[in-house]
Amino acid sequence: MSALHRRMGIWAASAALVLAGGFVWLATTDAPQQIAQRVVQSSGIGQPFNLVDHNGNPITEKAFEGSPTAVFFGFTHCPEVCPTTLYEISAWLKTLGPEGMPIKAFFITVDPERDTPEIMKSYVSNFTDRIIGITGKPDDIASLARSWHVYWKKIPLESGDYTMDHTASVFLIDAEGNFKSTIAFRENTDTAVAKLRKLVSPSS
Amino acid sequence: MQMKFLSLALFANLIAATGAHATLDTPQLPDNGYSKAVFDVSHGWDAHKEPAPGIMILAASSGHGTDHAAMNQPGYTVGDLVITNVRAGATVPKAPVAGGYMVIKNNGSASDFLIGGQAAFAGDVQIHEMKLQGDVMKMRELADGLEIPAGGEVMLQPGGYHVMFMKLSEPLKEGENRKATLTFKNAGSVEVEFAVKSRKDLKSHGMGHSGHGSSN
Ligand SMILES: [Cu+2]
Repeated sequence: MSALHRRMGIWAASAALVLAGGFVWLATTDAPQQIAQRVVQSSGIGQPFNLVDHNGNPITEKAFEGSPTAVFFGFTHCPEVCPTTLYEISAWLKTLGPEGMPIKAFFITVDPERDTPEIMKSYVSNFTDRIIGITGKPDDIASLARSWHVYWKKIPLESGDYTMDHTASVFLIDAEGNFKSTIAFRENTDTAVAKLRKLVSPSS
Repeated sequence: MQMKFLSLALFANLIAATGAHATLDTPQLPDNGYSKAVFDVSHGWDAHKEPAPGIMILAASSGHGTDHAAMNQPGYTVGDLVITNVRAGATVPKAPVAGGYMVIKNNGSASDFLIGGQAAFAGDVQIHEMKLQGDVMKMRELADGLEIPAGGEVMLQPGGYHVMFMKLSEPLKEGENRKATLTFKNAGSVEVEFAVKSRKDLKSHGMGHSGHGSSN
């Protein structure tokens, strides 16, 4: 009796789950594109900006179009996360080899007061020639970071110096300029490489 | 009737399941912690209340987690403190900062505090804590120093507590040994040598018995 009850209970519960599944499916059936659209709009990727690359040349949002792109925000006075990430991006691109050639990678400073184009160039080029450093006027950097929903904050140190808190993820943007996903700090190498591979050839 | 409805739902669910891989393509807004971090600019972090992840304060009895690196290198003793596995991250030329790491064991019956240091290759030496909050990396100076509890062991390691070498006058190269002085509130100062290691080698610290580290 109670066993039967239990079985009926389980059956009812799984029926409810199935129904719920169906509803979720119905609710999201043709949503992916709309969701993608919303994410792109809310993430602000593609919004115009005017900054300076590490060679001193102007750079705009057009730089993120036409090729799959990986973007990382950081600063050169960063003991671990930024050098590790720059090192890892270079390693991922090396792993991908020719397949990864279309990928463009950028390192945008959240500390433009200290990170001049010259400093960015000498720093970034010590990791790889595949990453371009970007800096600019503090206000312009701030509005770009804000539009991408990147967190950054200047933290004073007792010595009078300061450090920066900042979002540590790598942003992935497809060739059409759509935000696709992020690679988290310390993400497994295979996963990171797979995400980049997918960014280059979405259908594979 | 009810059965029919159910099987319809089942069918829908099956489609949903088979279609699931398509929705994996859907870009996702970063998770909750992310947007919170974005909008709640004021959210602070009290380094004294919440230790950084990966920090282990071990009881003295379990302090046999030595590895090859720690065994190859002599420990340093100052007062009741024993310092092992002293290492620093190699830097690229022009890098302004570097991190120093070690294990500090306190055999005494009172807390001590690592409050600072000095190094010829750095204009400033500070004691910092770092941690990942959501996907935001935060770093704080430990104004009162890093506490080494009585009978306890504290690890300074990537992603957590570190000695922050600032205003580097020259790069730290892998394979080098760099002298520096560490200063404790009670035990005083001690000169140690930081073994400069690559990013990969830094990760394998004295947590396991094998010392071969879990490279991830
Ligand atoms: Cu630091």
